[in-house]
Amino acid sequence: MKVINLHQKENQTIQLAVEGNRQAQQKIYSQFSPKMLSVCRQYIKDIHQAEDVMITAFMKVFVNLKNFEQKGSFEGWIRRIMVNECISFIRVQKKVKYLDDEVYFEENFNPIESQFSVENIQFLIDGLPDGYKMVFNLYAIEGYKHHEIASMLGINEGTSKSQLSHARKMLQQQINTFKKHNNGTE
Amino acid sequence: MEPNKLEKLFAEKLESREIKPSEGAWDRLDAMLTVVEKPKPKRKFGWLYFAASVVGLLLIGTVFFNQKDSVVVDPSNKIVIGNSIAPKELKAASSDPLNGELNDGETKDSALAQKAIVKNSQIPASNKESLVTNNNQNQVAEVSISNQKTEQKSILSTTNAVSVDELLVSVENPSKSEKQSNQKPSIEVNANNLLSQVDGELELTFREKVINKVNKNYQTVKVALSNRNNQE
Repeated sequence: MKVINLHQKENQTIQLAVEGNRQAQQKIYSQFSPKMLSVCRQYIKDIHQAEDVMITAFMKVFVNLKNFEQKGSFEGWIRRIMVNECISFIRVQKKVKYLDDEVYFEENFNPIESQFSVENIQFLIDGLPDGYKMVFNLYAIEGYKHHEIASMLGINEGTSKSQLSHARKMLQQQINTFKKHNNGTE
Repeated sequence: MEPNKLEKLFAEKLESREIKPSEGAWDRLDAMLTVVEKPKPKRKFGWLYFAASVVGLLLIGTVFFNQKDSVVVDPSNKIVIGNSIAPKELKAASSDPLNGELNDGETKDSALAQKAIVKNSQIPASNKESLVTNNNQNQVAEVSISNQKTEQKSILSTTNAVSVDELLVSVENPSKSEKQSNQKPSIEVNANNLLSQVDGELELTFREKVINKVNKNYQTVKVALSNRNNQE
């Protein structure tokens, strides 16, 4: 019952926000902005730039809110807008180079349990080049398929796959150095 | 190529992460939203302003046209026109037609007399009887002519008497009317100047009207006071 009530409340606020009610818009913003800023931060290292992108994406959310069909998850819908905004921001900011060498590296990640804090994870992701980072985020974190990533980034599906394997290899190397560093200090 | 355990861990950790935006972030978004939303109400207000300006222009226009009408249909002006036309008519009526009649009468009379004389002179001496008769006839004719002349003269004298009065009036009036007509154009020029200067600004016209009225009243009071002082 509580969930249903919450859902109805959310629909009401969405309806109000569609009509341009600023309070309802602020409610939606304050509800989702921390999570969405985290999403943007995955793609964009600079927190201020990430926030700018998030604000622009929220603009798009409110402008296109009337197009939101209340069937799927509202958070998922907002998140997609955020991710797309991040991608277009990275594209505009820097010319992303995708190394399309069609070489897939073997995956030999060792499970490292919860040794990594979120900051460590973010640090690792930040170390990736933009091309790798986008594919890795979209595939590993957002759960998109390679053909979806390919159409989102305007690249081949093969390129998406190779980007992912490159990203994984790079992450592995970073994790190894991180481990060594940690071991060294301990 | 499925996400491995580490990646799942990454995703989990990142999913649970929340980063609080800066304080001013909402304000910026708020400002952007108002910028995006503003055009619609602006348009509404724009229409309102447009309608209001049209109504205002119509009002100003009607007021101006009424003012113009009142200036044109000034009774003093009518009098001026009447006076300026009347003397001419009087002149024309008094001088031209009567004089013409007078002249016509005289010329006719003189022509008749001359003819009679010519007849008399041309008549041969032998025909004395006929001459006599002719003379008689001429005398009769002359008498009749003289009668006619006296009648005409009497008529003329009466018409002349009337025309003199009228001429006097017309002579007296034109001077006034000329004065008035001399004054009026200057007033008309003033009105035009005022209209051109004001050019849609009602306040100025009202102000000038008020100033003029106050000035006029002040002048009349001044004159009345000076007259009373002189009388005392």
